[in-house]
Amino acid sequence: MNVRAVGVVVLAASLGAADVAMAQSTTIAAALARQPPATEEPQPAPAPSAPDDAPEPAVVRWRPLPSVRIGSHLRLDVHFRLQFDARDSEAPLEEDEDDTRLDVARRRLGVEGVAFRIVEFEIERELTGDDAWRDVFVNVRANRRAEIQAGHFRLPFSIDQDIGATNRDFTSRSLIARQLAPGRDPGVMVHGRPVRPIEYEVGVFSRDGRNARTRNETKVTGGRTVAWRVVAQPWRSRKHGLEDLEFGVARTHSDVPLGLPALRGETVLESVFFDSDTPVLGARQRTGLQMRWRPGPFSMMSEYIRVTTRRDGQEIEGGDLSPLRAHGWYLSGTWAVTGERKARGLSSPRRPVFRGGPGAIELAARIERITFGSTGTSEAPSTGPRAEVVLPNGDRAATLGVNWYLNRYVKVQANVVRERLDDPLRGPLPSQPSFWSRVLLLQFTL
Amino acid sequence: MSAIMSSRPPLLAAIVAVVVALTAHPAVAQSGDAIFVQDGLPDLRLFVHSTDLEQLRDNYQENTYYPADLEFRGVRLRNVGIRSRGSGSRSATKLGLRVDMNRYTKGQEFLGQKSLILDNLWQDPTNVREVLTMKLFARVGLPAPREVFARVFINDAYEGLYAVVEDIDEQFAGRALGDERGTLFEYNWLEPWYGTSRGDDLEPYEALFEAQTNDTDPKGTLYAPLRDLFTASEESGESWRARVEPLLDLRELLACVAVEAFVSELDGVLGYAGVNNFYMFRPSDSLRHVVVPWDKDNAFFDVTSSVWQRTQENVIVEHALSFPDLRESYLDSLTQVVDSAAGEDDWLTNELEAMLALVDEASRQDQHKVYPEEERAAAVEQLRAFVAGRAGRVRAEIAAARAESH
Repeated sequence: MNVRAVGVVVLAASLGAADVAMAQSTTIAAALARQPPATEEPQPAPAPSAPDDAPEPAVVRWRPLPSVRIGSHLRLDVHFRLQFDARDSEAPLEEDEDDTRLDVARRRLGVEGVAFRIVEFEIERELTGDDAWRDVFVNVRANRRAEIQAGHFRLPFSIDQDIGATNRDFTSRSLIARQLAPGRDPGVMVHGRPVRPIEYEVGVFSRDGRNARTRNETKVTGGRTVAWRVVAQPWRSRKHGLEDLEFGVARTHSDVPLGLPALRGETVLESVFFDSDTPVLGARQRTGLQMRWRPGPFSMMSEYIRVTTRRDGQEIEGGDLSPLRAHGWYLSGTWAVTGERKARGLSSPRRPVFRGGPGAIELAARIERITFGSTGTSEAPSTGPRAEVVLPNGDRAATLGVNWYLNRYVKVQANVVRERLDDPLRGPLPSQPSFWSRVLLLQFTL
Repeated sequence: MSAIMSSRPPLLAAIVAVVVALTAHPAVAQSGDAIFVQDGLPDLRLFVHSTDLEQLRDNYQENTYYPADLEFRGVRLRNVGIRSRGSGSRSATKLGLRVDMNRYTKGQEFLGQKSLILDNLWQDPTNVREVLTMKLFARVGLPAPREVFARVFINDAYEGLYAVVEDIDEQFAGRALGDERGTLFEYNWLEPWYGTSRGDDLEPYEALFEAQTNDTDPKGTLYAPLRDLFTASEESGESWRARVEPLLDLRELLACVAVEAFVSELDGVLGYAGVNNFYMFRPSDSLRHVVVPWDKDNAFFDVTSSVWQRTQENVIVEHALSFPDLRESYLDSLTQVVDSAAGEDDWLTNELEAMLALVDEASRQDQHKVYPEEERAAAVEQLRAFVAGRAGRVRAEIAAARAESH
C-alpha cells in the first residue's frame, strides 16, 4: 500500500468583470472551456460600477470561496486543494519501498484571471519537481471566431487530457490520454467558434508535449509541433437530450531527431511494460478521435489515439523501417445516482453530507486498451533495435469506481482496476499476465 | 573487383544453399551440420547499420550487442545480435564477434544454431592452428567445437579470414556430450591459477567459472561441487583421488592434456600462465565434470617441448600422474594422438596442407590481419616443420616413459 498526499493552492485573480460566464464561452484554452463549472450556486453579481473618479471599494467575500475584490477591476479567488491517495497493487509499484508511506508528492500554486474583459491569463506552477511550470498563458479574446492564446499550455488534442485533476471521473486519466496525448509545451494557438456548433483550435508549439518526454534526456521527442483540433456539437443550440453530444478530431505533426524515443508504455500505476530501444528519425503524427455525451446524470466519453513515429534510414542497410506505432482507445461512463446533472458538475452536491444529505454519489466504469509496436508485418516480431516488426506489447484495463462528493470541500474516489498485459515478461509482474490494483483518493478543496 | 569479391561458391555449397532456401523458412532450425562442412571457403556476410558498426568498432572492448543481418550458406537471417568478443584477440580493426540468433527474436536459430563465434584468428599468423587443433581433438574422440573457415564481409567490405566456431552451449552439450541438460561453465582467466584450493566460500569459484547453462540454479547447486573438487587438492594420495574422481573425469582430463601436449599448446589447461581456455561440463545426472577445450590459437608453439612440460605446475594433473594407472592412461592418450595425427595416412600433414591451400588466397587478401605476409609465410614454414617433426619426438618421449615405468 502506498499513500501519498498532494497539496494544491490555486490563487485566482480577476481583473475587471471576469466571471464564470466568460470562462464558459470558448476561452482559456480547452481546459477551462471543457471543465464543468466549479459550482451550481449563483455566482456573485459583479460589483456595481463606481463613479469614474471615485476609488473602487475593496470587498472580502468568503462564500462560496474566499475572494477579495476591488470594485469591478480586481477579484482574487483563493483555492486550496489537499489530496491524499493510497495505492495497492498485485504488481510491484515503481516507488514501492514502503507500503504505507505518506508522501506530499506535489504542491501547486496558481493564479488565473481576466484583464480588460478580453485578456485572460493563468499561471500555475508546481512547487516541487523538475518540470515545474504547468499552465502559463495569456488568451486574447478580441473576437470569438479567432482568439489567440500564447504561453505554456496543453496542446489541443485529447478531451481526457484537458480535464483537470479536480474533475476527473477516475483517479487517473486514461492510458492513452496520459501517454499518447501530447500534454503541455510552449506555443501559440488560434481558436474560436466560427459557427456556433463548431469549435476549432490550431497552434504551433516548440515541442510535442511533456507526455512524450521522460527524465532520460538522451531520449528524443518531437521538435516544433503543429497541432489542431475541431470539435462539433451538432445539436448544441437545441434543447433536447443530444445538445451536449460532441465529436472531435485532432492531429499533431512534428519531426523527431535521430535517437531512441521517449514514448513508452506504462500501466495504470505507471509501471513500464514497453520501452523501445529502436532508433527513430522523421515525422511523428498523432491522430485523435473523441466523443462525449452528458445527458442528465449520465455521461459517456470515448477516444481513440494513434501515434506513429517514422524510422527513416534506420534499416540495417540504410533504408526506412516501418514507423513505430502506439495506439489505443477507451470508453467510459458515469452515473450520478443522486441525480446531479453531469454537464454542470458534481462538485456542489444538491444535498451535502453535513446538511442532512448523502452528498453526490457517482458510479464510473472505464474499459481501455493501449498497444505499442510498429506498423510492419513482413517478418517475425523482434525486439531488435532495427527490426521491421517490433515485438508489440499492450495493456488492457477495466476500471470500476465510486466518486463521493460529500460537499463542495471533500471528495472521495475509489477505483478498482484489472489489467492484463499481452507480454507480462516485459511488465511489472512477469509471473502473471493479469493483476488487480486499487486506488483510494481523498481530496479537500477550499 | 577483387578476386575475393568475384569468386563463386563451389558447386556443393550452392546446392546446399538452394536446398535449404527451397525447403525451409530461414528461422526454422535445420541442422548445425549445414554450417560446419568445409566445402570450399564460403562467404559469411554481416549487414550492420553504419552507425552501429561505427559504435561497435569504437567500443570494441565492451560486450554491447548490435543488430545485424547474417547471410551464410545462402540463407539470410534478420535481426541477429552481434557483439565484440575475445580477450587478447579483441580488435576494432578485425572484429572478433559473437553472433546470437535469438538475442532479439525468441526461438530464432540459424541452420539449427542459436549462436556462432566468428574467430578473427588475430593471434595466429598461420590462421590454421585453431581449426587444425580442434579437428585433432575431435579425431581422437574428445568433445570439441566444430569449426570452418570463412571469408567474412561486413556491409560487403572484406573483414578478413575467420574461423566460424560452434558455440559451447546446450546445443553443443547435446551434440558432443549427449546431454543438453547438463551445466557448462566457462573458465574466466583472472590471474595465474593452477587448480589449487580457493577456500570454502563459493564466490571465488563463481568468479572463475561462469555458468553458461542452467545459470539460474542456486549458487550452492552450481558451485559447491567445483569448490569440493578444488579444495581436495589440500589432500593427497588415495584420499585425494577418492574425493576427486567422483567430481572430475580424470582420464578425460589427461586425454585433453595429451592433445594439448602433442600440439604444444601454450595457453591451455597447462598454460604458461596457469589454466586457461577451457570449459567444464557437468552432466545432468552426475557431478563428474569433463573438460572441453577452447581457443587454440597458440598451439604448435614449440616442436621441442616435452609432453611433461608444466605437468607439475597444475596440482590436479600432478596428483593424477602420480597414480600409475592414470599415468599409463596419459601415455595411452598420447599414443592415440600421435597415431591419429601421424599414422599411416599422415592425417595431420595432409590436413595442414589442405587448410593452407584453402585459406592462402583469403589470407593474402586479408588487409586487417596483424601479421604481414612475410611473417605469415615464416610462421607457416615453422608450422610445417612442427608437424613434420613432432610425432617422432613425442613417440620417443612415450617410449622413454614406458621404459622408465617398467
